[in-house]
Amino acid sequence: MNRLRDEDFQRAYRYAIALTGEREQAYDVVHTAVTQWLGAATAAVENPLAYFLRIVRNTFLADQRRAAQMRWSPIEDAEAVIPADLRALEDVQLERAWLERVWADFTAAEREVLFLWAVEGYTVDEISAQTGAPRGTLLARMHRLRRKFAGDADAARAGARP
Amino acid sequence: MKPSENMPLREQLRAKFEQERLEASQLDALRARLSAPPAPGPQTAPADQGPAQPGRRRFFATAASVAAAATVGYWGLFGVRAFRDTSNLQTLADEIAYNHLYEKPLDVASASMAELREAFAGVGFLLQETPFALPPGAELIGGRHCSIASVPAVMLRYRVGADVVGICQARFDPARHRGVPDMQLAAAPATAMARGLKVSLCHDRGVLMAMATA
Repeated sequence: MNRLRDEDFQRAYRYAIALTGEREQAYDVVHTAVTQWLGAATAAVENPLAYFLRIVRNTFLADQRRAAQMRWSPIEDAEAVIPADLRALEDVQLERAWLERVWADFTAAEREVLFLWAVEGYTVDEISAQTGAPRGTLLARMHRLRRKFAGDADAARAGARP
Repeated sequence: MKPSENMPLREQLRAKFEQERLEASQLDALRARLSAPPAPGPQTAPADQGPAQPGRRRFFATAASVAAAATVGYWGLFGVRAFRDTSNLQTLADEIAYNHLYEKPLDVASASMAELREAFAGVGFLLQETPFALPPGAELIGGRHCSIASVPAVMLRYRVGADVVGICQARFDPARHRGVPDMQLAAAPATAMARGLKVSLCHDRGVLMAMATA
């Protein structure tokens, strides 16, 4: 674990913010994750950062009771509209203020997907491997996020008019 | 709120998270935690177990519930009964009455307590003069080996006319001879009826003594 650099801790902290939605809890999650790694009898870890991010996620899930908090959507919800990849989000344009506004309304699962896609640059398959969520579920979630952003953009335009 | 500038979602998110950084003090605290020994207790959380951790918690919670229920059930069935009925006087009386009625031959025939003490020295205690009031004319005729609650004992026999009185003695074991009064504290021995006999019990100086009479 001593191989983790300061920037690795920063990345873990941002990931925890994406999961928890607020800074203080995010720091607690990171701190707990450090403690748990110290207490775990682990063999040599090939990728310390990936391992640490996994512990951060597990810590969050344990604290928040995944089933109640994450609200994974069933695949059947949007099978007919599942896009093939994440391009549904690529062309979304929005103002920062509106991002902050809708961000608080997202679930932890939605925030996690957006963070891993936008900040960490993960592909759908990598997000699926990290989160354990099926690929189809992730794509359906992305599609719904796109519709949310589109709805908010329309609302923003309507609100901007006198 | 006036929107400032339209940007791609990915860029907005990156800009948003770029601002989120651990403060230097927080980073120092994490580094300090790394150099400290791991805290005791169930802190282990293998990272490769993914979302199964809540399941493990549920398993341990279920196991703990089952164990608690079993414990409560056990004490409900046996513990309360054991606490309520800590005396086994009646069981002891029954065993002593059986030993008295079972006419096994005497191992040592003697009217001398000194000889009997010497003969039964191997049982691990010194035979005592009986504290009970023997019927008039009772004569010591000898003794034989027996046991009381699995503790080696000696049954002394006294002849009273055509009848026989049995005095059973054993090393006193508080765990096995529960409810037997201490003659140093009690005014009189305890009495129980068993197999048609009257059995009186007490213990004194570390020796359990019981008398069985018709």
